[in-house]
Amino acid sequence: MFFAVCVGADAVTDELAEQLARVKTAQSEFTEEKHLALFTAPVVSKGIFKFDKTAQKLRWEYQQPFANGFIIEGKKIFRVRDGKKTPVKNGLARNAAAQMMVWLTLDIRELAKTYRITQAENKLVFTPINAANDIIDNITVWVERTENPPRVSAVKITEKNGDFTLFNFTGSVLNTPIPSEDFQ
Amino acid sequence: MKHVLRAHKKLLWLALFTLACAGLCTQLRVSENILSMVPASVRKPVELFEHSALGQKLFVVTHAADEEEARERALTVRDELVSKGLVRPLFVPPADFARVLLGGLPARFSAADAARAAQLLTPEETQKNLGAHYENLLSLQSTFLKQIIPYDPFNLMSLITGKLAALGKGTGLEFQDGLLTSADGKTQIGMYDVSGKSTDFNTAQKINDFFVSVQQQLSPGLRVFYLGSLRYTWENVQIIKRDLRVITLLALTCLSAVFFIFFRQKSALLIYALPVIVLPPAALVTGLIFGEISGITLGFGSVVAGLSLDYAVYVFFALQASPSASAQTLASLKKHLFCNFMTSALCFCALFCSSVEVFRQIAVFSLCALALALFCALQIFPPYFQNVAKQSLPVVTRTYALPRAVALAVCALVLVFGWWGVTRTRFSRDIAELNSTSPAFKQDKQLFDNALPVIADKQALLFVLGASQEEALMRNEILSAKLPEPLAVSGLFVSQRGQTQNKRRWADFWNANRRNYARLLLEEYAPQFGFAPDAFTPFFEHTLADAPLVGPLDLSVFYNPVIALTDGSYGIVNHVADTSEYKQIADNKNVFFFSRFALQEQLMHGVKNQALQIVLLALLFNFSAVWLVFRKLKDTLICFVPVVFGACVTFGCFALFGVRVNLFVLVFLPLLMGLGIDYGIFQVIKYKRGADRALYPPRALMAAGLSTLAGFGVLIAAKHEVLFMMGFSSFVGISAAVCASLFILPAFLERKK
Repeated sequence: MFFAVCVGADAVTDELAEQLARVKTAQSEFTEEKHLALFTAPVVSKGIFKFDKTAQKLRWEYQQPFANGFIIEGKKIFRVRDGKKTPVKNGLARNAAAQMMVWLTLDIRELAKTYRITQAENKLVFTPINAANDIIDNITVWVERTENPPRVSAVKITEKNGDFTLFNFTGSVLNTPIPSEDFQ
Repeated sequence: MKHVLRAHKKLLWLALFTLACAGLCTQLRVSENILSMVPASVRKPVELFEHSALGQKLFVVTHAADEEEARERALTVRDELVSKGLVRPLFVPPADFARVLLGGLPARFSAADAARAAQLLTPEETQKNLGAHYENLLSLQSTFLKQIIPYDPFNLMSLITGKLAALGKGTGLEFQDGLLTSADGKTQIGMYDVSGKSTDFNTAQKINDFFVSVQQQLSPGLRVFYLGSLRYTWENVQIIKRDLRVITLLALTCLSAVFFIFFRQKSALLIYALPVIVLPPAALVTGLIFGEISGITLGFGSVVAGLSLDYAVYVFFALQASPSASAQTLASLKKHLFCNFMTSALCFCALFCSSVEVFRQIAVFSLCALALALFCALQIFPPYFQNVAKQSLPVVTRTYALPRAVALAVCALVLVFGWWGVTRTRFSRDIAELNSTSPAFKQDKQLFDNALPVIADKQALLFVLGASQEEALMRNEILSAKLPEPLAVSGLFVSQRGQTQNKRRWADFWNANRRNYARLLLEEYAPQFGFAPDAFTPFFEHTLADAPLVGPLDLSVFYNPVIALTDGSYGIVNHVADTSEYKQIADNKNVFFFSRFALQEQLMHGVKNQALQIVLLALLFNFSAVWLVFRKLKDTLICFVPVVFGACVTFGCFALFGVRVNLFVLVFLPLLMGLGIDYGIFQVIKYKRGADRALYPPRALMAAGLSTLAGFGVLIAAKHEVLFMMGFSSFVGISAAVCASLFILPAFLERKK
């Protein structure tokens, strides 16, 4: 899960943090695989996301099997369902939106406050420092460092009960302007 | 010489007595409670409101040009209030709160819930709910939602969330993150529990300091302020402090002016020492009788200060003017002074019959003060006044009588003016106006009311009382069952007896047949959405089990409708619409209805009754007393002329100057009666005395009237609504009564001679 609370980053080089900080916009298609004990088989969803770091805007949209998602504009958050945009005002959603921004910018220094971060080859593993967290076991982020700036190719959120969600990002485009209408 | 020494001894003892009383007064509890200011008929609902959670809340209002800015600032202010320990942190639901909520359903499982649950156990509803669960599990929220979905495949949670939603039903308000939002979103209102007592001035001061510092940092267009009982406390205290300074200064100045115009003798200073002498014992006696003393009663001290001077003033002038020995003069004055005291005392006795506690305190306070003032005037002061050289003051015996025809014309005009005033005077229906607030407060309150017109105008509170919490809850349930639409609180806060019945209903509902049916439904439809065969095992093993998986549901942590009253009983607070349906079920014994409009109605009704009672009693007492003194109807009626004159001019001026009259005008009416009759008696006795008329110089009446105005009328400068009302009434009414006594009465009395 993207939203979580986090701390600690000794192993992560300043270089990587600096490279990631250079990502100003990102857009990509994604597939989301849900491996839940509640389901007999993994369930796959597909969608797109668009992110503008400078404008603090994000569109996260599922296209299959359901058409829904959300849009973040600064501190505002909207739920999108069947093309309809409705504001979300509850604190939980607002905190979630704030966390989402931290994860999308991969702000290593910010994340290091609540996660212990370890680096191995092309991936970063974030383990919650807070012992009271009884849901998330770890979050693994795969980074392709062959390109500059590096791009995130996959994210896996593993829960303590063994369930996990895997996001695969394809067709990523970084640092190209995104029209503001795309966030409407 | 011996006589004088004996008199000094008396004065010394009096001073010691006053000092002792003043010392003991420091132990008195001074209170400023709105309950003591309202008639008995509205006291209970006001008391209930004061005890309710809403009455104790601190309302923090943030207003900005747009919703986002208002919300951001509201959340920032809340964080700061919590971090500084000024308010208690909001309830944060634990991770397993959804399961706790679901676990609380059996104890709240009503007959209506059973019917609704039966509807949920259909193939269509099951498919719909499983489909929704599937979609939620694919969303980013799945990590949280899957904590509850296995326990609730049929969406039974909707039954309890429906009950929670019913709490705010009909308000049309949006409530998110502990913030109420106005229709345009520009005003956000947070409701918080204050860490200290909500009536404590120190807490009020801390909260006020906090908001002053917040307001200093605000950008233009942004407003942040607070409302609630703490704001009233702070505003009242500030205004009373300011009033005390201004009134004391003004009263001293006016009294000095009267002294220099009429007395100009050292010994006459004793007259002005009277208020200082009589007030501590009066306050002490009042405090001992009532267990506490109201700030209003103490404020009324300045009124009595003015009144208490009269007896000494009359004695002073009589002794100055008397050619006979002082003992004879005093003897001839006694009847007049006792008569004056009796009429004033009877007026206060009438006031004592009121159901408003402050009025009763004022009555006792005034009686004590006047009795002591009379004692001083007759027993302590005469030796000092006697020693003054007789030629030092010119004895003026001329009168200022108007021609009789003119006097009659003036009387007719004043009567018309009074009638016009009575028909046009606006009475304040708002109980909040008994609190004194600044213009800034009124602006803030207006913004609050505009932001939440539904709460301000259309919402009401229904209080259901019981000797115990269980009894109150049971009564609430019984009442709820009688209503076309149940009370939301009764569905969530259930008595032990009700819980037992509900749990039995839950167990009956989930009998073996229904459990099997539920299992069949899940076996049929869950695989269609890819759910594993054992996905909903927790529903059968935990949700339907007798022992809940999680702790009991305690909703009072974020919403508590139960109030503990001072008499040990309990009340349940229901938020309802301000409609006759709820108003009619209030029996004012165990069920009380409270709304702004209902309260205004009750208050007006109570005030009218009180006014009628006090005025009629005072009239009856005084008429009887004056008649007993003069034994002549004409003389008796003449004594009432200044009263009628004063009342007419006062009500005429209320209408003329647009003064909104509050119920404290009721204190003024018997006072005016007492004083007006005193002046009337003064003139009637004077004209009956013949040769002794010199004992009643007009300047004695003028000095007495102006002294009263100096002590009493200066309250017109007060900002406190109650004190201002008394000051305005007395300034106008007593001036008119003095004028009537000096210029109108002689026109009729001279003829008698």
